[in-house]
Amino acid sequence: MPPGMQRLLHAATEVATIGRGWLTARPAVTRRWALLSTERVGAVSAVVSSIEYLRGASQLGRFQLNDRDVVAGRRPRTWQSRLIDVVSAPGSYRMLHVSRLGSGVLLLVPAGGRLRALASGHLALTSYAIYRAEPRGLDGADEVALMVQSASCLGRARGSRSDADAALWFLAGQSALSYFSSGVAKLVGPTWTRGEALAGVLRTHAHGHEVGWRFLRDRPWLNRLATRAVVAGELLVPLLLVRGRFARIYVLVANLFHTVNGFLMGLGRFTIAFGGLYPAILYVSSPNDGTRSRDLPGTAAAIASLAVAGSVAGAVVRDRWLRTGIVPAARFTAPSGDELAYHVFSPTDGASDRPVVVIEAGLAATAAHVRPLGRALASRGLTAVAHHRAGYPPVRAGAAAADFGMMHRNLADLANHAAAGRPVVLVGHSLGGPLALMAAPRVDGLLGVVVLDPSHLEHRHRLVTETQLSSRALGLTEVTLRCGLGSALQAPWEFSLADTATRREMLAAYRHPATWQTLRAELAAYLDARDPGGSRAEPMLVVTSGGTAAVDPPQLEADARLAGTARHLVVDGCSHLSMLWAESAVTRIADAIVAAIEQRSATSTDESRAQMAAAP
Amino acid sequence: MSRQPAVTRSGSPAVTIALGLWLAATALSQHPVRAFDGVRANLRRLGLLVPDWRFFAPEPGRWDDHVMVRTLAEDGTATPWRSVDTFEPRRWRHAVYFPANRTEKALADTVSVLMERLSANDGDIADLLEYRLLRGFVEGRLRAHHRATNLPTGFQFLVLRDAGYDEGGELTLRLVSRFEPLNGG
Repeated sequence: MPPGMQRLLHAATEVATIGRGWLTARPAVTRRWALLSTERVGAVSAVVSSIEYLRGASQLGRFQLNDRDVVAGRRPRTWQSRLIDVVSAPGSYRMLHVSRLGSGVLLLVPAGGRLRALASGHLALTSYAIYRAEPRGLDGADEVALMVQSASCLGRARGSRSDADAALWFLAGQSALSYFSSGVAKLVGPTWTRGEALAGVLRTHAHGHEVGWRFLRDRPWLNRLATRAVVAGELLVPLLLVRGRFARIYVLVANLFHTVNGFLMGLGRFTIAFGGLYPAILYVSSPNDGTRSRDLPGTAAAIASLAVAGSVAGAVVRDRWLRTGIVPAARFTAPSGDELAYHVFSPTDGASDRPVVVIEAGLAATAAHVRPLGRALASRGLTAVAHHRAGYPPVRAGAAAADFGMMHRNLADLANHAAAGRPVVLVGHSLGGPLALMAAPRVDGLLGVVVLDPSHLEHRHRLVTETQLSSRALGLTEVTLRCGLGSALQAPWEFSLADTATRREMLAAYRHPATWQTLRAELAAYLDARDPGGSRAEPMLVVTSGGTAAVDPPQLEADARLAGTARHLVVDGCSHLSMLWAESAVTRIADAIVAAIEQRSATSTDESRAQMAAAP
Repeated sequence: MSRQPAVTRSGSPAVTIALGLWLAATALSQHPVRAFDGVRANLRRLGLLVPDWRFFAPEPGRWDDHVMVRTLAEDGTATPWRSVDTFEPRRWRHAVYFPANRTEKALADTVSVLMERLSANDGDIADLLEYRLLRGFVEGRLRAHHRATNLPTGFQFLVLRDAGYDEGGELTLRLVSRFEPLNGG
């Protein structure tokens, strides 16, 4: 090897050795440097965002997407809303951003500790004011900037070492949490695990890059590799902090990640904002000089543990109440061996020969969900029976949930049992729709079937592809509830429209793991169900909720096709769920069911008379 | 030179507890299934912000929502649909400074919330805040286009979802507005 090449090789080896040594050495960062650097990056975030707003990014003006006049008319008149009105007025809003430039510059130049705390506090408060005044248009980078500015202020305000440490631990914890949480959440998304996500995101104008998209689209292997590398990186990067030795690699990798995203996805704000978390990462990874407080991680862990313990206690109380605190349902053992439960809503003055209406609810729904409809039908002189399917608490699980055929045979058996020879009308909501249509041929004395926002067999796979009902999400929901964390599970907003007792019962069942176990089994059975073709009944009434009609045109069309010559009613002012208990919707639906029954009864009577007249 | 934080004063438990609460609430609000966002929702009602770190997860947005408009002239003729999008081609400076992205994001936020509210269907669409904001946004673009002269009689807008640069992707019509009159004011 020529001597020149030897020297070059030697120099490269030296550089690599030094570089490796630097990368794997524990950083030696002081509290002072970390806090100053954090403040300065928070200041840069504020300065850039305020320049953006001053140069036309603000949406508060007339005909804009945070139009102050339009929004102000919708806010409840509280002192907070009045304050927002003052802040978002044209003159004061401009002044707010100009003052942020002033605070930002102050933090970028040498200044005293108190002044720095005031400047960071001002940036944090004004960031919050912007968030309240024009929430549309903000993103995760703005949240990071607000956190950095708030922590800088709190860490600096009293000039205390342990306050500064608490602030830096807080920011380091948020940084590690951000990548790890993002990675874990992606494990639930099929697009990420199949390795398709990156090209999918890059093809959009909103967060994409045409050249980047074409490059990955033409190299599917690279798309899979890069997509999975993102997930793996997000999951593994926080591990670099475990012993502190690889904190510099953490910062380099994270910074590279955000810089690439900044160029490709237009997310440059994230590169700056997340930079405000790195000084804290380097500080908490540095050797402890004996003065560093570790109170913050312990406090956060204690608070989180208390919250989890409270949630577990809540789960125990809910489970006990479901088993002992609600009115027991009537029981019936079906020929399948399953124990079926049902509630009866009897009319006070109903004629004994009037039809019995058997109501079948949808996925994750119990008899409580259809209670208002049952009561409304009873008040119109009909006996209503609400089926509480096996497996939904407090009714123990049966075999039917795993077999769609058995599910609709159980419904038919229950209808025959509860009607005791009287004519039967089946009403099915959502998944209860196909169940009612398929059960109908086995029901004695069937007068007709009514379906409310029914699921359609031919569209059933949309349940999985267009909603959050992916098998991984459902499985994780069940596991989380088994761990007692149901208190964090938000019920659909429509639950708030139900009366207090019904809402409590629905909520307790919704947060019970058995509900989700049953839902998963029923959904799998439905997806595997055989289409019975012509052996389904034709409905005498199809009802579509206004919400479904508004956002799901294919469902509306399918409902209209299903109705055929029967009545198809669209009920405005309700959603897929609230159609079962919003008062005006329930009234319209109950009236429509009664009208359909009367029409069908009259037709049946006319046909009987005609047959008798035609008889020899 | 800026001064080093003084070390003579003891720390405040309030600072540690406040930041500890914020960190704990953040950790408890990152469940991959977003229905488990009860902690975040409750704190938000109190006006407190809990960051959401689940960027592009569990399922990333792989579509663009475009807002399109057509106008109706006094003689009753309607123009073809045209886009009022704000998407700006990527430039190097966007890695640091990208004000137009705020408008893009605001439009996406407005459409997203509007579609959620529509599925709730608890009133007239014209009363929904997001509908009024979107309507105003479209009207503003029209007024700028016509420069307040020869304003059309009215307009209609729609929200169309497509697959971005992938022109072979599926198109989904998400919303068609009613006819919206346009007055001179």
